[in-house]
Amino acid sequence: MSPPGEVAANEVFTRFLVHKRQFALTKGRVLPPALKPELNPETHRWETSTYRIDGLQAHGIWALGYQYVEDLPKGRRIRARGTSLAASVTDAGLHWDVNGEPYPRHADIIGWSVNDKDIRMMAATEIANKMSLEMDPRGG
Amino acid sequence: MSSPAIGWPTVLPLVQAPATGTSGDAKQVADLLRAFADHERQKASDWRPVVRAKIEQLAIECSTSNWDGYSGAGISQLTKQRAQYFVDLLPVDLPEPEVAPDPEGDIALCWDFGRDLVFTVNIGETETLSFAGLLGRGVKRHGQEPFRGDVPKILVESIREISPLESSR
Repeated sequence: MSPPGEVAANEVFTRFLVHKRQFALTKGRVLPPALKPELNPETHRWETSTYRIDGLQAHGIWALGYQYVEDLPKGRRIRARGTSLAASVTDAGLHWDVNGEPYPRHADIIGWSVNDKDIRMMAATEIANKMSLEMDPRGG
Repeated sequence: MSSPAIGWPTVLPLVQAPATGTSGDAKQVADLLRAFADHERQKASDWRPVVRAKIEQLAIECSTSNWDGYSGAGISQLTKQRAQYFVDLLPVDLPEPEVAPDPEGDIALCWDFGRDLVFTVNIGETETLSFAGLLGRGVKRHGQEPFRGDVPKILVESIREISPLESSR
């Protein structure tokens, strides 16, 4: 079932991490750059891609990452994910864009500062700071 | 018969001992040995070569765009060199940072001491360092500083503010 069109503050979202240096395993922490946005060449806006995971079992959440983020032929393998409440995004002064692409549960974090990298870094730090880290159960 | 080599385990206890000799020469030798031991100790705890190596590896792994599956920009050779230069300039008594790839093509150095105690410096191709952090007690700090061959004071101060080593002193 698809989640509603608006992201609720108490909803949970996850960000898939594909590089071992996007998190500090021994500290159980997601590092701020892992939440930094990319400039979407089509929309011309800064976006951080996430998935809404309310109502999903753990294996279903990981399956989303394997299917839509991972690309093993290109050497891109899911390592972990960072999870938090949606409110952490709005608390950092950002917004949600529920676009359902490439999957109905997909949502972008938007509203990033256009010109100031340090302001983008600050917002990413605030979100990452509240995240919990979960390692890919496949290990390795 | 050749004399056996004297290893540091043999010599170091001498360094720990106070200079009991009465002559100026004895004191000078003791001072020299102490200075040498200090130097060796500092070399052993110098994390900068380790961080330089991590940057080297990261630059290889994230050299092409879309390394993260979200269209992240690749890390250039120039960015790598600048990040390694920055690391060389950091005071060795700071804690070792985590090295992280940034989707804007930067290399990030992160000092993360747990919730609300995080500070990140981004190094890229330009002569500007960007930084952001949570310094505890609800304090946020972010900004940009020129990178012209030294580490801006505000960066070192911010890292020291959140460092557990610093707060235990």
